[in-house]
Amino acid sequence: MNTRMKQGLAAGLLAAALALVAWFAVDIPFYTWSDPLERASLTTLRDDEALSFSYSDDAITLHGGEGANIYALTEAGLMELENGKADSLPGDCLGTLAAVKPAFRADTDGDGVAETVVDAARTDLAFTYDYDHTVHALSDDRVPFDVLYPRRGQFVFTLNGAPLASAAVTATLSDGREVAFTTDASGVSTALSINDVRGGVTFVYRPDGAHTFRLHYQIEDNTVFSLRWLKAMMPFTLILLIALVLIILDVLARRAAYRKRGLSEARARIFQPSAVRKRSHFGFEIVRWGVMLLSFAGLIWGGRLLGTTFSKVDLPVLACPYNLDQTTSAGCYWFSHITELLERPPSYLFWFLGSFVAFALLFGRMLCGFVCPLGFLQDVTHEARMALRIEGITLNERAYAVLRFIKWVMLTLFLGIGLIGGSFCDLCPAAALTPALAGFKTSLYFSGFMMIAVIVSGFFKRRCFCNICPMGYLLGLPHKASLARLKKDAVACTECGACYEACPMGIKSIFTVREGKNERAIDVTTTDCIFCGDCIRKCPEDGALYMTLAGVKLYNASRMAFLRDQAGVRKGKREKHG
Amino acid sequence: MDEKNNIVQLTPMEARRRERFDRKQTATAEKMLRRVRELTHCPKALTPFLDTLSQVFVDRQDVSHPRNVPTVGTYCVMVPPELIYAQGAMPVKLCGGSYTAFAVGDDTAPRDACPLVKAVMGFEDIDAMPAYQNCALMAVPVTCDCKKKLAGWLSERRPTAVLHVPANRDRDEDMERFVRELYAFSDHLSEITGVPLTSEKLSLAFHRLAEAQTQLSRFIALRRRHPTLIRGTFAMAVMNAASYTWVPGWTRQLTRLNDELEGLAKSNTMAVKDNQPRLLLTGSPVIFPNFKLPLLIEEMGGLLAADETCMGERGLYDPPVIVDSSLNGMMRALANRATRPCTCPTFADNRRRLYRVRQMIGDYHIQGVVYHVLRGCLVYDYEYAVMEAEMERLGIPIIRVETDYNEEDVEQLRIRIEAFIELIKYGGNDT
Ligand code: SF4
Ligand code: SF4
Ligand code: SF4
Ligand code: SF4
Ligand code: SF4
Repeated sequence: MNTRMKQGLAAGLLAAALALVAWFAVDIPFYTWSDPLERASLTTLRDDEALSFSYSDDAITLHGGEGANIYALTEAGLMELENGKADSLPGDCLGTLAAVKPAFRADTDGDGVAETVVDAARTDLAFTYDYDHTVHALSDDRVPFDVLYPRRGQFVFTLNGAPLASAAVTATLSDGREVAFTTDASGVSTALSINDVRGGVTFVYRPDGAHTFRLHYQIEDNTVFSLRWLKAMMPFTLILLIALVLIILDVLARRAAYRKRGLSEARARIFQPSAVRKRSHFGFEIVRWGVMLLSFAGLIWGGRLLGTTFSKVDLPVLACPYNLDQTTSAGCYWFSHITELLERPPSYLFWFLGSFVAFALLFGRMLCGFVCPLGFLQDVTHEARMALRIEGITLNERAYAVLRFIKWVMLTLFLGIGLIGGSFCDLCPAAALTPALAGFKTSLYFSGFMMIAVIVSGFFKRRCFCNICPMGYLLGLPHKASLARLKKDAVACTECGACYEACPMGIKSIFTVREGKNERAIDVTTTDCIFCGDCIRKCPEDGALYMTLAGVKLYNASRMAFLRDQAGVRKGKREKHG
Repeated sequence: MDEKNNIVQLTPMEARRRERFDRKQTATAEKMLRRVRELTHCPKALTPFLDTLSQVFVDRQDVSHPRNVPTVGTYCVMVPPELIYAQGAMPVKLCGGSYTAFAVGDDTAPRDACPLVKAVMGFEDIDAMPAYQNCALMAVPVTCDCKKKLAGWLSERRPTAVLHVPANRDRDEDMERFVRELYAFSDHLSEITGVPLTSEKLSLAFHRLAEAQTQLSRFIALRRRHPTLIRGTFAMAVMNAASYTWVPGWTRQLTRLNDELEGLAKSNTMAVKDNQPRLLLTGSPVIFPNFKLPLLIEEMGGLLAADETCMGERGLYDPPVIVDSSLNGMMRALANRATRPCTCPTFADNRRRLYRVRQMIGDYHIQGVVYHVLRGCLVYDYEYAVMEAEMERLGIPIIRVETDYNEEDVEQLRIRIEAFIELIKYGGNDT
């Protein structure tokens, strides 16, 4: 057996061992929330208000409960809750509560004739990713007029268990606005946006002059900056704090180690804050930060900001779709849950593949450089280090080789763990970020520890996690067909290596490649390139490196732009003599 | 400033030797400067640069710099000026071009040593150049064999910092090794100046040099204009003067020159007639007062459009690129700049020099290449063959000129260069 094979075998075994460790490690909880049903409590108020549910963190209140029957939906059907009070809901509760008043006669439409009025309220707890509306149908003649909320932005109306086709329904929103609409042939309406629903909505349906059905609907809410949101942010805050402590410890330990090794005193002072600040100039970099900020906001509060989400589109980055408010869904979930994907209707597969192919071809890993919230987080931590001028950890070829190896292990886990009954999401750091910021209480298993690692490593080495990210890697695989390209003029290049130094992904070929079909435009795009443009920004040779999208030059290296960046100091900080 | 060298009592013989040195040195430097001034189209703003050269080589005064700032003699572009400025000193490039010092050093150094190193040894022996003598520290990167022996020889006489330069730079470890050399050099500097290295001081020094490089880049952009705005000999004087000027001052002088050149461009006043053959000078360093070659080229009707030499454009061309603003990040930037883009033939692999020259041929519309080989400079001579092959491929005439620091071969050089210029002019190689 030659050395190469031996090395390969050793690496394979090591990878298998690592994967095995990971298989057990994923279940280590970092911060778990108890089941929403266990957390929830219900109190009924007889406060003469309209019949409706409301939330304050985990406490649910039913208003206007005078004489109402209160039910919890269990696997066995509606179950009446005695006294309308529960410190925890029945064990087999499906997360839906309903309240209904006995039918009474009143004139609610103002025509002077009293009708039969059925007044009801309904709420769905933990409206999470796997909320399955077919299970949650009340299907009970005690609540004849029912509404289901299968997807954000879509309602299905039923009357006595049958779809309410082509019916005129009026919705009164929490702000008093009224929306009138007609359902389609299967009782579906998409007239309301997510934000219309958030504060609760009252539907009124009048089949004829003699009947009025009223139903107040409320989903479990997660309003930003509420108590509930603060609670949801707790795990992430904890992660930040631990990461901070680790960073401080690392700085102290390294300083001590450098002193002990007798390194130069200048070197040992690895934390040297300075008042000198560089001045930024408008350009590619600022645009990139702008896009990153917008995407970050969109992938956290998109649904809230836009009132709608594009949940069929699967963005292939680690923007965690456990956050239901995010503008799009994310492909990572389906990549790591292939078996689940295959059980879904074919349209899921179609949208998943379609989104992936479209994104990969149009932008490729440009999404990593511009859109991914986890990438953004790492860029922020890097900038924090730059501002503090703390010595980082620079990787060389050998260190990058180790990261590449870890990437293979991650990729195996990403694609494979779902096939043997695990879930990559228990390991994925992204689960700790956007859902929490959007106010979703997502239980974190190994993900929490991963997130600490992402922040600490990203602080000392820019985009460290991206070097091992399986989603990014998959997105980069079809780069040969992608419209985003990085090109190099081998004659203009002085091989100064600045691009390689700047590249967060450790791509050395941008610096060393000299030969190619057309030496003035050698394609140096690689699977790893995230199109952050830093190599171009730091390239001091006019036109030596440039980026194109669909043949259009987006960014070109320029000596003057580079020097302007490098020579720019914020005013008042120039040296006195000279 | 260290004045002790000037009050040492000299023996009569030493005194005579020094006097002879003074006379000769002054005479050559003056003659060279006069020839530079006599070239046509000398911009007004060139004066301060020539004055600097005159101050150091004709008047033999120390370089001008703020008081209480010691000077550090450097022997190659690989010694980062940023570091020296950051630690409260001023770098002075001491690679010698003096004919007189060369003649003195000839007695000490082996016959086949290069004239540059001989001149340095001559300066040390004769002890009559304040700019040289007053250096508080010598920084010698070990590039070629001559420099290596020079480092040893100097360290027996002077406080000397020796910087080990890796033979290659594509592997990351090579570059990282040079980072460690720079830290050691910085410690050495702290001992001399008493100023410790801090990230703030270093970043201010970076900005200072970046401003100089911004003006240099502007200058280069102006030089690339076709027809030409400024003669290459003038440009080489500008770059040589940079070695002896406190850098913010040099930046200001160059800004003025750039402004003047821009004015010339606007009024369409060109430095030379359009039809003069545009030549590129590359090879061993051309150091004032050894301006033999550039002067010959331009006096014989050629146009020195560009140079690829380390006391010329290359001396300050490559900027250190900060990608990480911590102190270590900046030190890496310095090490990276010193090694990776450097086209010095002392590196084992140096194909980038061919690409560099090719790029310059395009940028400056070059029609012919003059390859300078200082007698004894093996590394540059070594690369002549590949350069010749490459030029042949490109159809650019090239001439190899081997010479050293004396004027005996001037006539012969004149004939060869004239013939080369004629060849380009009438040889149908016009582009
Ligand atoms: S946890 Fe990670 S892999 Fe799972 S859905 Fe969220 S981002 Fe995707
Ligand atoms: S590589 Fe980085 S930026 Fe790309 S998907 Fe992964 S975490 Fe996000
Ligand atoms: S930064 Fe530019 S000049 Fe330097 S090696 Fe990279 S491409 Fe070449
Ligand atoms: S090659 Fe350039 S654009 Fe691509 S990741 Fe590296 S620095 Fe960013
Ligand atoms: S490179 Fe050439 S000129 Fe420079 S010191 Fe070495 S031998 Fe002399």
